[in-house]
Amino acid sequence: MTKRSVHLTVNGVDHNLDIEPRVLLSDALRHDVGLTGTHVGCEQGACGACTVIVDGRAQRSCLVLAVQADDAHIETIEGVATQGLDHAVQTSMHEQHGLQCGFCTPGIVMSLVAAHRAGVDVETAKDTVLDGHLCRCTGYVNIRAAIDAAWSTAGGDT
Amino acid sequence: MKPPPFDYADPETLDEVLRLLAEAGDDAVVIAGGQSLIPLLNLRLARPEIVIDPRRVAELSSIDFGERGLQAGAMARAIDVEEHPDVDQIAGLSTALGHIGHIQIRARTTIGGSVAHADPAAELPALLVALGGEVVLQSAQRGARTVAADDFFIGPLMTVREPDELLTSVWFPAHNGAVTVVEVAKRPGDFAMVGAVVGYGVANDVVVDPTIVLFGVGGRPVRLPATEAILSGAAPDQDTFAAAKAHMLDNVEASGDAHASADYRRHVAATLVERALLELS
Repeated sequence: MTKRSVHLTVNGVDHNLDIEPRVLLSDALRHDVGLTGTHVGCEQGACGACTVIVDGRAQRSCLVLAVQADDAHIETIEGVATQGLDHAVQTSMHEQHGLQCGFCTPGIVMSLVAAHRAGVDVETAKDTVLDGHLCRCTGYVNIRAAIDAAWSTAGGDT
Repeated sequence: MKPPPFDYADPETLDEVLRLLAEAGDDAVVIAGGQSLIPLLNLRLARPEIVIDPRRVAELSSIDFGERGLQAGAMARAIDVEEHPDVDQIAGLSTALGHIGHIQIRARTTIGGSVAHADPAAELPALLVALGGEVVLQSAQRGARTVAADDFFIGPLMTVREPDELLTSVWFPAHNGAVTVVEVAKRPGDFAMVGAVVGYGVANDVVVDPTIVLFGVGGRPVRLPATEAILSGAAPDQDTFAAAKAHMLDNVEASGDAHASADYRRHVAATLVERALLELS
């Protein structure tokens, strides 16, 4: 099938890719852009491991074709820590031990960063936003503690 | 798994989308938000020759709340309707949208995609039938036609849309009473095993304009006119609602599968509807 040229801005860096239309955004990020922090779990939209921020909103990168994201601004876990400083969400996940094996963590962090930035309240973050993620280590208690801690941190958002 | 190979077109005009659709017919699939289609592609349950993406056709993303209700372009995103300041003009809409997948899914889910996909467990098709809404279908050769929601849905993932037609907009009229959407799913965000859209108004101390539509119990949204008739003109009290529930237990035709038996679905549907009627009173 005919390849397409796709322009993505990933963490502020322009990428021009020449890819098949069937390539998922998750795979384009991992294989073509070379950023493997975005994890691929179920590829059906259920687990949330592949969540990235597309044009300001947290979305499943396994449920977006890379060609659909042509000219989109994408943020991945690699773009969250800037200038050597962790985001408040990352710091809290670390301090509250909000991860065990870590596989689901990048997706959760991306959803929470988008929610934090959008001014979502803490209860919505713990319920509505976290609902969209599966942690098979079942470490939800500590993830919720991390959300409480991140949301009580004044400012510091990017 | 990964999607099978396909061609992709994202034209900038509606005319070009319709022309491509007429040319490819059954070999084409239209992608809107992709939150149902891409899992089907990933699982290779869908193998289209060409995927047509109308994302560049700006007019398809319109969201207009007006006198007549909500006129939503097919590509309007669920999250943009959910966060719209006028969303509560359509009773039940905000609740229905909140039940769709997760917030990360709703960031891409579209109104038209959900309606055109016609999943029997989906909320928006049921709400559309309950409110007496309409869809607009357009083709290159025959122009536009308007179809009542109740006539649009035929069965699981089946509608009266012809292969060369594009669903271009959806009209949700406002109900003059209160409407809610209730469902039972194994986890929040999962497809509903059983759900119901329930609404009615009250005038002169009696129920007017009752609407009850079940989803997840059959192949398409199921309206219950006989149960509505029990409510219509009766006092909005516990006795009336218990009678509606009893009628449902005797009459609802549900289907059984690995997730729930027909009896379970019938029982849960009747209980959900009774609770919703009470909640709205």
